[in-house]
This record gives sequence, structure tokens and C-alpha cells, in this order.
Amino acid sequence: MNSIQCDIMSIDCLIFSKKIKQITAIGTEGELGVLSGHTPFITQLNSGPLIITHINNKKEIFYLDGGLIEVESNMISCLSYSIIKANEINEYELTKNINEAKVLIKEKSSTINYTRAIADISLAHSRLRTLKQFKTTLTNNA
Amino acid sequence: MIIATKEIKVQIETINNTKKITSAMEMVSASKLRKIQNRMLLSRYYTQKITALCIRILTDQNINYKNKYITLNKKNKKTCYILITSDKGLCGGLNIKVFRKLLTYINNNKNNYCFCTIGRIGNKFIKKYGGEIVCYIKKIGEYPKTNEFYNLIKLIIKDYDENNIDCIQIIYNKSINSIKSLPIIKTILPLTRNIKEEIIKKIVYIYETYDFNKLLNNILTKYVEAQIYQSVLENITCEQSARMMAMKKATENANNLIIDLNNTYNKLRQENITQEISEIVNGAAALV
Repeated sequence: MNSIQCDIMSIDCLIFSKKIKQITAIGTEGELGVLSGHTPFITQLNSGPLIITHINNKKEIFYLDGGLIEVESNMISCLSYSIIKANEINEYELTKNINEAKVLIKEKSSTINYTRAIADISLAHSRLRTLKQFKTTLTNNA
Repeated sequence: MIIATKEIKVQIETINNTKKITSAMEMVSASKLRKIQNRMLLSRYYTQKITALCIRILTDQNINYKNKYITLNKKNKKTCYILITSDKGLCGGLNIKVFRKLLTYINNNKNNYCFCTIGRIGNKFIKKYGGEIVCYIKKIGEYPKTNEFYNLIKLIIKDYDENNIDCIQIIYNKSINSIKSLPIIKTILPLTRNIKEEIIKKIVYIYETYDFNKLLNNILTKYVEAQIYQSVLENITCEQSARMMAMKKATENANNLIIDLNNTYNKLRQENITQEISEIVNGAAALV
């Protein structure tokens, strides 16, 4: 079985380090998948889900807040600002945050920073998307 | 006599209280040290990885761009020193060692310089010593976050790009083991090539990006951020271990003082009793 070593880390933790079969992420140029024996390349990653296919074909999903992916000969390094396991995403809190931000925008109060509120909403949505994907994978695995 | 014994008792009580504080501080430092050590070791791996990546990209022969990130300008105009010290005292000669190293280094290399200080004690020192302070970060605490250094990183990379500074160096205490630390000066930019050869494997990359400069800037920012964050963590580890040792010594000293004072107190008490007995005997003899 062809496998490739994968290290996923942020500045203060090494969250994942194992041999895997495939990795799928969202780069700035589009979605990309890396298998063993891929040509060395570097690209930036957008915020979104990072899907890992283990050797036994089981899938694991992480949420990435942007970062870099570097593929060497048989080694993938994924460096990000913050990484969360998809099952650790708090759906209730995110929905609450989205609703609060929406109310603030609707009220048009001058004290809030609109760009910040919109960025918060998009971040929360992207995390929710990851969670949704995670739930679908769970049902598929079962 | 009685007054003297009372005074000694008060002294013993005071020292006992101080001992309690120092031993508590020792235990607090020991537990913090363990936590921060783990974080530092994890961060070391990330820093090594991003440094190697940065060097590999910048030494790639296939890319044409200004090479000021690698080679040092011979007419070195201005150096920016990032001085990392602790916020609080009570950690032995940790900060003094860094200052001594910095002053010897500055005297040997007579360039223009400016400072970025992280930590209250370093800032105080530079203000006394004299020198331009570009940026000052205080109250980083025991568990710093990367976004606290965002402004500093943005500022120095901008200055470096605009050729206001030609060299960025960082001065901090490197933790060798849980007891030993060493003050060192490390050059962040331009990248020095004294990193082990095995880390820098020659790889020809494909850069999947529409804007290479953006990618490079992103990697450089991450590299500088990782270097600063790693140095801060190392310094905090050294601070905690130095504080633990200092407090251990203080507790031991307090113990010694208490033993000495107890001896003096007992001697005085014995003298008092002897005197009283002799007075009673003499009084009885006078009656007979």
C-alpha cells in the first residue's frame, strides 16, 4: 500500500503526525488532493476543511484557518494558524455568533465594525460547512 | 533580656512567613515550567520546519528576485535588536546575563542600532542605556499568543523591505535543560546559512500561486513570527526555571536563618533560667 507521511501543525501544537493515503485541502487556486509520489510543491491554503484518508480508507476531517501546504518527496507538512478537529466544532455557539452578528448589522448601529462582523460570519459559516461535511462522512463511514 | 528574646521570636515569625511565600513561589514556578516546556518543545519543531522551508525557497536558483533576504548588505547601515526579557524580577541574574551579552556585542560591532523590546525589564534597561525603541510589548504573561506580536512583526518586516534596517537580530535566553540557560544572539534576517545541511534538502518546488511575492511574504511573516514566538517561549522557560532555583535558594537561606535564630533564642532563654535560679538560691541563702 502506498502511503505518505503527513504532519499537521500550528505554532503551538502538532495535531497530527501519521502515515496516510490521501489528503484533500482547499488551496488558493482551488481544491487539491495529494497522494504518495506527488511532485514537490508549495501553496497557500484557504480557510476550510482538510480531509485525510487513512490507510484503512477511513476519513478524518480538520478545520484550518488558512495556512501553507508543502509537499516533499513522500512527506506532507501542513502549517496553519489554528487547526481544530471537526468533531470539536461547537455548532450551537457558531449559530449563536452568526445570529448576533446579523442582528447587529441589521440594527445599523454605528459602534460596530461591519467588516469585522462580516468576516466573523463568513468564518463561522466556513466552520459550519466543515462540521456538515464531517457529519456526512460519519454517516458514510457507518 | 526578655525584650531581646521577644525580638528574636518576632524575627523568627517574619522569616517563617517569607519562607512560606518563597516555597509557594518555587512550587508555582515548577508547575508552570513543566507546562511551558512542553509548549516550547512543540514550537521548536514548527520553527525548524518553517525555517528550513524558508531557506529552501530563498536559495532556489530558479527564482529571480531581490536577494536581500539571504545575503547581508556589506555596508550594514542599521541593525534592529529584538531584546527579550522577563516582565517580573525575582529570577536571579537571568536578565543581567542578556544585557551583558548585548552590550559586549554592541561594543564589538559599531553599527547604528535600534531596539524592539519584549518585557518590562528590558525596556527599562534600554531607556537607561540610551537607544531608539521602535516597539515595546509588555505583559506577555506565561502563555503568550502569536497575535500579540503581530504589530511588531509587521513593523520590522516593513522596515526591512524599505531598507531602513539591514539586519534583524534577536537576543534571548536559550533553554539548554531545565536548570541551565545561555544568553544568545541570533540573526533572523538576512537568513544565515549555518543551519545543518540535512535540513536543507535540495528540492525543486512547483509554486502553485498566481502571486509569488504574496506567497513569499506570507512565508517570511510566518518565519519571523515563529522565530520570535519560539524565542519568547524559550525565555519564559528560562525565567521560570531561574525563578524556581532562586526561590529554592531563598527557602534554604530562610531555613538556615531560622536555625541560627532558634539557637540564639535558646541560649538567651537558658541564660534567663540560670540567672533566675541563681537569684533564688542567693535569696534562700540570705534567709538562712
